[in-house]
Order: sequence, then C-alpha cells, then structure tokens
Amino acid sequence: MGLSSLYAVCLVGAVAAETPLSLADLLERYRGGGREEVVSEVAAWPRERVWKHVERVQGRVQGKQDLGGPLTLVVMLHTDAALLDRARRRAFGSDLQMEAARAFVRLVPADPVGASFARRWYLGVASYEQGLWDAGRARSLLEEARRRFPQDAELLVALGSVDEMEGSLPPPSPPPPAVARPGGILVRSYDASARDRREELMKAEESYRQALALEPGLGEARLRHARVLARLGEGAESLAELGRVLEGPVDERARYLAHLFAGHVLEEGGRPEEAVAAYRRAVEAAPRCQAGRLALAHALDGLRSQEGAALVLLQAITPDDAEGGRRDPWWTYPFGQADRVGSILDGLRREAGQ
Amino acid sequence: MTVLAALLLGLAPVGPPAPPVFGSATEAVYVDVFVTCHGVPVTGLSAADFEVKDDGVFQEPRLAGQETVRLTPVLVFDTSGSLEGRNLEHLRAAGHAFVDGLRSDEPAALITFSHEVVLRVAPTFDRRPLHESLDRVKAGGSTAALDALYAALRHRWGAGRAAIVLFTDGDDDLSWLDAGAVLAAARQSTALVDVVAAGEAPEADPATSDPALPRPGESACMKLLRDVARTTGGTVWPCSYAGLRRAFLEVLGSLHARYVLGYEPQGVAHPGRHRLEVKVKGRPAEVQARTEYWVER
Repeated sequence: MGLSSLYAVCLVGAVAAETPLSLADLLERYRGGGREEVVSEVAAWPRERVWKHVERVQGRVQGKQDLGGPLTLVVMLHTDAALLDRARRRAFGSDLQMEAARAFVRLVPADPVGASFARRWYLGVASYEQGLWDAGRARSLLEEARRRFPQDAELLVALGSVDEMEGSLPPPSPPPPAVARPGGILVRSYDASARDRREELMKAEESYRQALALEPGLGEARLRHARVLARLGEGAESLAELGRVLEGPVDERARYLAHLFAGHVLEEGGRPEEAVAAYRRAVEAAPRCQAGRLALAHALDGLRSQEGAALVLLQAITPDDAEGGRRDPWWTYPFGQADRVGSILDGLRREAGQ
Repeated sequence: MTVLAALLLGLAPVGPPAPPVFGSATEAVYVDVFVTCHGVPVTGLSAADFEVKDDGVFQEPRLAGQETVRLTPVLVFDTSGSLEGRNLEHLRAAGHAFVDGLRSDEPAALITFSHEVVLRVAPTFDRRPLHESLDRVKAGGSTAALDALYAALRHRWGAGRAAIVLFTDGDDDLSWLDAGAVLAAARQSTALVDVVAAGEAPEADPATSDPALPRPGESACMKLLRDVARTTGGTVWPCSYAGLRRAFLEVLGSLHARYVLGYEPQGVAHPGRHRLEVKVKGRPAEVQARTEYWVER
C-alpha cells in the first residue's frame, strides 16, 4: 500500500478559508515543479499561522480526514522550509518550521512503512543538525527517535556520535598556575569542563556498546567504540576493538579510519615504530587522504626520520585537483552521518511524493 | 605594543641556514628582535644596546646583516565557512596588499586551510601566482588551524627562514594533530610565527600583563596560537575583518624593521632546550624575541 493512500486526507475547508492557498494546493505544487517557490512561501509564514496550521493538520489526522496529500509530504514540506530558514539565517534561525515538521512526523503511523519513514527522518534531520555542530537539537531528535524505536542500533550509534562529538571538542585552556588558586572559580570551571567532556565520551561509549549488543556486526558502532575507548584512555581495549573491526568485512573508509586510530593509540602509548606502521597502512588504504599523511609525517618526525617526514608532509599538502579534490573520511567522522543527509532526505522526498 | 621576532641557527653566520632542528655543534645563534616604544618601532640601535642571556648566561651579541637570516614570508590563510562573503573580500585585499609590500628580494608562499590544508603557492619571487591564487580562493568548510600551522612549521621552505603569518577567525574544530604536536614543532623550528586573529580582543598591554595568561573568553586554539607566536618571537595581531589590510601591513612592517643579533654561545654548550632573554639596555622599550631554542642531542 502506498504512502499517499495511507495518509491522504483533504484539508480544503479549514485552511483554504484562512489562507489563499489550500494545503492540497501547496502539496501539489511542492510535489510538482514549484517546490522551491512553495518552500520559500511556507518558510515565510508567521509563527501564529504555522501553529494554527499545525493544530488543524493534527485535528484532521486524528479525525481521519483527508489532507489532500500524504502526511509524509507535509512533513517534508516543512522540513525543507526549516532547512531553508536555517540556511538563510546561517544556522541560527528559529525552530519554528522544524518543530512543525517534528509535530507532523509524530503523527506518522507506526506501521512498517510509516515507521521506516519516521526513523529515517529522525536520522536525517538529526544528522543535519549535527553537521552544523548543533548537538542540542540533534540529541533532542535522536532521544525522541530512541523512545519510538528503542531496539534500533543505528539510532544508538547516531546518538553516541553526538555525545562523542561534544566530548571530543578541544579542551578549554587550563588556568595558568599563577592565578589558579586551588578550589578557586577558575580551577573549578576548568575541572567542570574537563569532567563534562569525559562524561559525554562515557555516554557515547555506552551507546556504542548497547548498539553492538543489539547488532554485533555493526562495523560503524565498533569503529566508534574503539575511538571513544582510546579517548577515555583505554588504549589496549581500543586496539583490540580496532583489530575486530579489521577482521570483519570493511570498506575503504573503515579500514583507513581503523588504522589511523590505531596509529594514534600506539603513538600515545609510546610505541612510535608501530604507530608509523599503522599510519602507513592507513595511507595505503586511502592514499589521497590528508589526515593519515599528516599523522605519518608527525610520527616520522618523532623517530627523527626527517627526510621521510618532509616528503610525506609535502604529499599531504600538495593539492590533487586533477581528481576533483580530496575526500578524507576523517573530515566527516566527527559529524556522525552528516555526509548522508542529502541522500537520506532525497529518499524521503521521493518516497513522500509518490 | 610590541612585535616580532627571534631566531637562532646552529650554523655559521653566512650561507643558507635552515635545518629545523639545531645541530648539536652550535657555532652561532641568531636571534631576530623587534623593538618598539609605545607601539612605534625603534630604529638605529647598535649591538651594544642589547643584553642577551642564553640560559641565564650573558652573551656578546653583534648585529648581523639581514642577508644572514633571510625571511621567506608564508601566508597561511583560514578559508573556512565563516569567511564567506565580505569577510573573504577583506582577507583577499589584505593578502594582495601584503604581497605588494614585499621587497623584491623576498620570496613568499601561500597555504590555505579549511578542513583541508593546501599548499597553493611554493616560495616564489614572482608575485603573479600569489595574486592569482588569492583571487581564486573560496570559503567553506571546517577549520583545521593546528594541522595547517604544523604543516607550515615543518615544511621545508628552502633557503632562509619562514616568517609564517597565519590568519584565522575561529576555533579549530577538525585538526588531526593536537596542541602538543604544534607547540613542539614551534619549539624546534627556526620559523617566526605571527597570528592575525579577526574578532579577537585587543592585545593586552605587555607592560602590565602576563602574556602567559589566557584572555577572557579565549579559546584553547587561540591560547595555543598565542603560545606558538610568543615562543617563536612573533605575536598575535587582533583586528576586525575591515582592519585586516592594516594588520597585515603592520605585520609586514614589523618583519622589515627587525634587528638580527648573532652570538657564539659562551658557557652554555649543552643539547636540549635553551631559554633566551633579550632586553634593550638603558631605555624604555618593548622587545619581542624568541623565548627559547633547541639544540639536538
């Protein structure tokens, strides 16, 4: 059964009386050739109009009345309006349109088709927020999704990656000893910041562990689990986990990141020769990646292999325009699945428009 | 206000210097020094006006010619997403003005960074590729300032010493390398590092404040950049985006107004870290000079 027949209801009466355009018209234009125009119109609605609209649609859905199009299409219309709003305001816009989309996605039925849509919507939109470093919004969406889909390992990994992102932020500047009175506000503030970061990492570790319990073959969970263990100072456990990642079926991205992370653990653990070997394997896995080469150059420097370090560093910073620029998985790793946002949302739009 | 600079080379006084780590047989140390009084560069000083201590031991400095320690300015530009729009135009204009102000015998290079660090132009005396590359720069992406600075510190820039002028307007959010790696590279490098920081609070008065203290609201990244600048003999130049051109011209002016002091180390022949102190005798002046150097074991 298609989504349109599942969620279709018409709104013609209520909204059309209040506004020049009915929801059915909006959806038709959104589904047809006028998407950009209608998204722009909806994004400009004042707050009162948005909430009246939300209430009316909620009423119609609860009353099993026709909307004039699929509910999922309404979700995507407001999602796109939210993204436009965020883009225009450089990510500091209000939550109005996103809250409307979120209110509608809560109405999507829990049958297999609806659940699949809602689950991917939470994942896509949360990843979008994470890509903007907005951990608060991303976490809020994912926690809601977790309540709805408690056994979903991928959502757990996404939630863990938000905590990992926050826990991996650069540490605050420690107060200089000259002014760092023990127990004073500077010391307490610094200690609290450091503690907060560690707690975020511990939450991430817990999420990844739970995800692996649900789905032991989930490579992304294992890779991230290993990285977080290393950040928590559990180098040996991290290396063991990375070994398990590399034993399984891995793509280029996972192989590269696993060797890169292993090199870091080994370097931190005072095993520079092994670190160099691990970084070399990372570079072999993804020769055009930059972080691996920078890591290798730094490790070679530590071994006083200055000629080798200089050559690797030069390779690291020399552009490779002929092949269209680099794509280093390290650059997107902190943002969870943010690099999948485009494909997730495109898939949802297509599905909703059918 | 003070500014720049210092350096030392573990080599004879003439000829191309430059291994980034000083050899154990240190024959001569060169320290370049920028002297100001109430923000105005002080010129006309002689070697006798300076007091130099190496690990607390007085040395006998002489003034060396500029040709002894030629500088290669290396522009390292943050082109991350926050530079989109007019901010990038201000940065471009500042870069063009800096390149136009170079002396004809000064080569220069350009690195840009967002999440990716890219060597755009290797050291060249030809200004055209520098201008063209500045015109082509686009803004976007995250910020890997530490990776960029590490690359600039460790890259072999050829004869002469790198005068790194790093511009950034934000915190580092994506570097692979950490602060420890960058600070160690700075300590072992002969490079001079100046940081132009858009949006930063004005520099504190060095006469009344400890440069080691973090500024209110200062990020860990900016604290590190300040430490690197101070260690290498440079400084942080806070400014607005509209003030970028002026800031870059001031940096260039400071590069051109430095003294180069040389001395044969006496009584401090040991490998490892050497602390340096440089003062101007008998007159009020602020001195900016490298605070330490490293002799390989």
